[in-house]
Amino acid sequence: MTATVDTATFPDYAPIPRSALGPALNDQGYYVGRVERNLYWITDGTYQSAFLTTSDGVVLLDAPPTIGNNIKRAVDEIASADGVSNKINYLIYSHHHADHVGAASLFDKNVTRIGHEDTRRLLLRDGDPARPPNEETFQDRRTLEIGGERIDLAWHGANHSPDNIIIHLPDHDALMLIDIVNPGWVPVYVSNLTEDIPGYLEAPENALDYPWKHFIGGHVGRLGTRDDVKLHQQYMADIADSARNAIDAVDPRAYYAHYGENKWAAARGHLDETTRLAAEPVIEKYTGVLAGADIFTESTAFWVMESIRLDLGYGSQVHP
Amino acid sequence: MTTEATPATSVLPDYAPLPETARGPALNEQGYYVGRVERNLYFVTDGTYMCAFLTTSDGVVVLDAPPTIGNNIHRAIDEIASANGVSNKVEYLVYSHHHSDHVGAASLFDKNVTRIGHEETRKLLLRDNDPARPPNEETFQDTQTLEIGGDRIDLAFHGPNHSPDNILIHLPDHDTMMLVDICNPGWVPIYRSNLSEDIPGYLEAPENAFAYPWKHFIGGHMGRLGTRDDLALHQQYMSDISDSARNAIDTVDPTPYFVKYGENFWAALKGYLDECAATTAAPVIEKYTGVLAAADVFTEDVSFEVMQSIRLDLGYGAQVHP
Repeated sequence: MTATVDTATFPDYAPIPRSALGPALNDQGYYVGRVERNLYWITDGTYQSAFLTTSDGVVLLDAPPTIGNNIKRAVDEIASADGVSNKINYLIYSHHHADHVGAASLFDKNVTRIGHEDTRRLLLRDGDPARPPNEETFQDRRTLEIGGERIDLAWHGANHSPDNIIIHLPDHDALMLIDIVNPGWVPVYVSNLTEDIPGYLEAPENALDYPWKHFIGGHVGRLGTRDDVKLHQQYMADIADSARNAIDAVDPRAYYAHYGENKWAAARGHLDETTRLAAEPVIEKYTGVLAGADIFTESTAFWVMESIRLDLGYGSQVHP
Repeated sequence: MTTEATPATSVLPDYAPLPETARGPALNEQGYYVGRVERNLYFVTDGTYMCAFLTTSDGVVVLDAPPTIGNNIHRAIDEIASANGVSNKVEYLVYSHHHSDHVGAASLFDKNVTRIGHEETRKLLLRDNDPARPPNEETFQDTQTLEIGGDRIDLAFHGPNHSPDNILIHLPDHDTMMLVDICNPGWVPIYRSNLSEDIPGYLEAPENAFAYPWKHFIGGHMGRLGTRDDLALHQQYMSDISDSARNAIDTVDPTPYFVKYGENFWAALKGYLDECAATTAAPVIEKYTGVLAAADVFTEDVSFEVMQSIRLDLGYGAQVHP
């Protein structure tokens, strides 16, 4: 059974700035392009993965199910054009979530899967046949040398998820960091569905500490630059500042007076209003700058505001 | 300067009346209630937050210190200590987890109090660097048994759930389990499953609590203690949401959203996933209105996060592009 909906009731949003859009997709629904030398990226317009062709076979970085078999087509296309092997021998997981690695089982059983030790733990917990746990793990840092190419893996602590890592390719001037910055776009829902907000807010700074020019964010239809990461960082900083103002400005008493013993109704009224106030100036500033600012800023502002209250203790008053 | 935002209360939505089971005892004039859990174990509530304390021959052990109760924790302890002729001196403070709303009154207590909690709580409090929450010097990794003034408290960490550091506090000689921010007895969870970070761990937490013997449940929220039945009801509510979320993922068609919004993928995603959350929540709201307070206020928020965890953690509904 499929639910049918009346599309006339769907809300209208601001037009998408041109800076949000990437190259056109081919007939099969993907685009593959060179990042630098033998490093390539693939997108379906919403998700991204990347791969490196080496003398020891192909190293694949993430395998989103929405791209799925188009990963193989993209690898074949490039390998054939460059006259190199199309055999995928290595698969690196950025983190355990199904939307970025849920096509992992498409690859040969003998592929070497590499990721953080917490990625392995979470994949063992999830028990999803589409995502075989990585046998190769690391804790803080690990350097891979595959077919003469260097890939540096680093874990700086929990952010989007507890296991999300930085993949730095120093000889390709590229950094891959998934689900933090969506170049040209705001984060979706609650800061890209993030678990640890202090870690999420700190992640761009960690990424900018490395030398690179090309940013692979895992989402949307184009690569990013250092400027994209800085713009995102500013957007999040503006939300955090505005959330502090909103926590200071909204008086909860009216909600508790109105709802009496229904404390959850009062909490909802108070915190939703705080969120709305936090988001308002940020939506105004970023509409036309980052796509989707009018769609998801309120949701992200809610989650940042809660972290400022619960993690940082901001606005907490001790009962006299 | 801050501007006070005053809402027009006429625009605030109406919600279903609260079931009787949502209510706890009346608060006193200072705005708190203190009651006996069992023997020398007591709980304190302001109607929304809850903490507990144990009076022992080695002084008082406080379990959590919510800032909304604040100095009323001192008043409650003084009241009980004086009535029972025991010491009112707080010597130990146990943290359930690092969040400010449950331990943000920690700095009210003497500098020499012994603060105990999970090693991750210490790490997060060092990160947060909030003077109101001094990091616990005493830490443990998986389990720790405290023997204080002849009373036993078992601490256990079963993995992340609400937060990465949230622990079980079991008082076997008081038939009591304290587990904060999982189950709010008589009420649904607030917003995203009580603002939980790890949903698989959140869903598993009641089962972990049930593995211990106890009668009294201290949930950290709302105005009354809980029972095993309260925790079982919460577990059923969450399980109904999970089942309904799978059904919604199977039945809601994303196509019209992506057709309508074209290159604005985030607009399409929002339309589609909000509809999944609403479809998930509808039968659960109907079933639990009048059973759990605020089912009509927060079930859609909880549904959204559970549905996302089922998609992202469990991989349910993921289709590999052919």
